[in-house]
Amino acid sequence: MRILYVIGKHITFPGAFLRAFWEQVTCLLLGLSVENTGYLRADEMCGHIEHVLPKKASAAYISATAPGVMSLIAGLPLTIFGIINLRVLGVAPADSVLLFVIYILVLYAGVSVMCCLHPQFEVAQNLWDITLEKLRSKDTKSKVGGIFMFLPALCTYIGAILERFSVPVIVWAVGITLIFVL
Amino acid sequence: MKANKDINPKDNSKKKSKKNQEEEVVTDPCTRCGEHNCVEGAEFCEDCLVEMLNTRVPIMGWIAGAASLVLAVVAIAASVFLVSPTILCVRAEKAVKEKSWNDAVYYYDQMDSTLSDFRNLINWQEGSPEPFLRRFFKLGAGTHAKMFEAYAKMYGPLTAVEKLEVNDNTPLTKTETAKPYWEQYKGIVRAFDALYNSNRAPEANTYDASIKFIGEIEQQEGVDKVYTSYQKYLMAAVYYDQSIEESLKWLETCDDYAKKSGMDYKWLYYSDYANILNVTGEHNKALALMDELISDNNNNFNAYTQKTDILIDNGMLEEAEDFVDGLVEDFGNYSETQEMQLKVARCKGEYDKVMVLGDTLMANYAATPETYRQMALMFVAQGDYKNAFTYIDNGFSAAYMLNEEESAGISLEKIKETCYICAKLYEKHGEPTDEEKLKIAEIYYMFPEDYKTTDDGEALISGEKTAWEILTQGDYDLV
Repeated sequence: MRILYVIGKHITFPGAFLRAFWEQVTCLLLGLSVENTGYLRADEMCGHIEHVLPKKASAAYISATAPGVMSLIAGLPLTIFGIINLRVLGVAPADSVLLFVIYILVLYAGVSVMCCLHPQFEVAQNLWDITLEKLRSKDTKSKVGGIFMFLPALCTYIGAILERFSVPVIVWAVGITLIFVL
Repeated sequence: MKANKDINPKDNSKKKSKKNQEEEVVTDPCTRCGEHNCVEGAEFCEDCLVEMLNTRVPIMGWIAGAASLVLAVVAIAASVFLVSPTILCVRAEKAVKEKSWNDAVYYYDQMDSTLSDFRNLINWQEGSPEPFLRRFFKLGAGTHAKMFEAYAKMYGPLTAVEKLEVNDNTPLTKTETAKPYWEQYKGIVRAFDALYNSNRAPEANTYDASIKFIGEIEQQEGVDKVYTSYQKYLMAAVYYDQSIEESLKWLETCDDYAKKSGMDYKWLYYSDYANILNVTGEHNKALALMDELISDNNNNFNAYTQKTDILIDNGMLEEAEDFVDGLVEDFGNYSETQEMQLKVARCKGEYDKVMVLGDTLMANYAATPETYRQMALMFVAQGDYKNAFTYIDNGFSAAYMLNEEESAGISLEKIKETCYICAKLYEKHGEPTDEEKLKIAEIYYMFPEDYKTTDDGEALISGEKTAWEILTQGDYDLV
């Protein structure tokens, strides 16, 4: 599975690089110690950085979701822009090879970023554990916090599991193919 | 994985320490450097912890982050402009799937027009290099080719090339979608140029000489033989008034070549072919051709009208009624379908229905000349020649204005002929006012003296036949 993950991350290296960058910036802002900043590696840390796991709920939430949100802000417009120009407007090499290549690269960059939205599994697991702890707590404030955190934590958790097996890469590849073929 | 490590001093689950009230706490070596001992409650030494907190973000990271945000902003701004063209494109492609080529053409046109408006926001003087930004708002060759195909399916490749201003340098001609239509166009143009730009001797202006000349043109390379066969048909049917069998022969040749080419030539000759088959009594074949046209393009109102006319011509009024009722269900908001419904009702003698449909058409749409003509025929059938004359006069004015605006499908000759007949009938059986007498005189002025109208018209004027006989049982029309 690790091989699948590494291959997926290297195929989507722009997204992996950007994701790791946003993770490091988030750790900097949250004051989390970062152990290793190699963005593109040949192991399960490819596209992520090694950092300590926060125990505070807010820090855990932000460290797990903020880098993904920043990647989404960058990746979604690029993906949409690429699809509109290549599929809707039908820009082809016959129009301008340069423009066609630019749009292909924009689409590739956008989709790569969209494939790397979720944190590494341990970070997601940390957030999930904290959320469950809050839900089980007898303190009302904690419980309410847990309710608000539940859905994002669940999505993050499932996303992290799927990303481990490069499922987003496969889904996006199939989706983009269908958009252009149908 | 090291990221699992917990530095919360309260959680001592992984730390081993020997604590002696009088001795210092001894911790394990730092897991990062291995040189110093860990800080209490952590897996790293103090130096490593400080270093880890101050880890610098690589310059490439900052560049990538900033670039991604800038590009995202540009992409959002550009995408906002492209929302409307995207929606139009989706609608156009849906129309293509449904073979509603008219709708597809409409949506592609709207899309192109919207993009053109955006391009015009960017200042540019023709002659100078085009700003790169303008290229973001242009139809690419892929979609432009689909637009070209929609036009070609709707109007034929000649009109498609003219409307979209396509030439050899237009990128769409290199796409697989547009290539067949472009090649078809070039073949027809070669034939046209050879036929009409050559110097022919005056004695060549006979039917046989013309056919021979076209036959010679056909032997040239790259000349479209379907088109040349159609030209032979025009020589026989239009220019030299040959027999119907002779005309039919060339249309059959057209059909053979068209089938061999594998390209779509229905736009060129199917209507004429169906017409001639109907005249020669092969109305089933004619109807089959119309059904083929309709299945290729369900926006083909000319085909719908022609099929209705063929059904009426052959006395198949019930089938005609079912057909147009079905059309009204699908295209209720089109005036063309309601007009067909009105015509069938008029042929069946359902005059109350005709009045209702006629009033609706006039209220909701600008009434077409044919609506006026059908209502005039209804009044003729009822012996109300005054109203017949009023309606046909209005119809003629409408036809004349539309014909001047080059509106397709308006038969000025049919309206004129019906005008003449209604004027004769009104003059004979009615009491025209002075103003009406002037109008009648204007109508007669359009025709030579002792003009003889159609057989049915003459029979009606002379009283040989009644309007009811002709309009609901015989030919169902006066022209």
